[in-house]
Amino acid sequence: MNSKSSSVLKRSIWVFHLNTGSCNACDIEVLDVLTPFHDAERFGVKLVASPRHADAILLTGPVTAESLPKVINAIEAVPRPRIIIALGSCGCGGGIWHDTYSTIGGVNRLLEILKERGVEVDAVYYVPGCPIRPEAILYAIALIKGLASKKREMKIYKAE
Amino acid sequence: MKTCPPNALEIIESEREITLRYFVGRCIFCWRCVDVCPVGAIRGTRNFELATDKYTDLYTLVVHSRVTCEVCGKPVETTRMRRYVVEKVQVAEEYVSLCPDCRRGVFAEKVSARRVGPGELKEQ
Repeated sequence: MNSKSSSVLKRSIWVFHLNTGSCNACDIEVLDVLTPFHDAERFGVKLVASPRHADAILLTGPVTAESLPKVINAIEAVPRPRIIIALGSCGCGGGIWHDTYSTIGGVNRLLEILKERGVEVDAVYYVPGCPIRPEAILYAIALIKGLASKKREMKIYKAE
Repeated sequence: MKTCPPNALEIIESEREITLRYFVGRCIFCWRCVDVCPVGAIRGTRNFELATDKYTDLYTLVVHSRVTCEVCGKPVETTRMRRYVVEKVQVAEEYVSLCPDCRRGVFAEKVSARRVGPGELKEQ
């Protein structure tokens, strides 16, 4: 592994796919990434069945109120260092459902709740898109592994 | 802003400036904003390399300065908006430097100055 790689994860990323009430479009794109066409497994990414085996949580969906206790349980079960990859617009910022009564609106509120409960998260990655393109997921993997550099940054334009 | 289904595009008003805040982490890329923008200021892209590890990276801000009303000093629309209106409607130039309230007042004064009583025209 080269020196650019993320300081949190040194080796293959084993991910646990956690659907927190998404519309399944992001989940289908995750499956798409694992097909031979895009082949995310060449980067060492592997879907595992239990959060106890996982390095990272692939979080899709806006975290509905119903799923919140299960989500917290799953994240608690991941061994340290644990990272969360928020996939899609819903995972990043709540998407269409950012202000509805039945969701907590994305990963930011979830992180606050985890902090209150004393669950530490070592890194969070945000992958926007609705649904995320498979290429965007591949780019995110490359970013986490240090193969690609970050292109997005906060921009402030002044108009007159 | 009303057209954006997930409110990814927001207007934040303050005393000195009006800020357009675009939060790509919530955007669903429906491009309704591109369709409805009357001046074609918004362009859609197919750029997908948006992944980041910092939440604030997902914001894009456009800061517009505001002009103030010449009479009462209240902040009104943006500088660029005023120039756009003057270019489009030259006849508005007389009223364009006022806020809507003052504009109504000035207009009412001008109308009332032209008539003295019910049905009588003032002699020139």
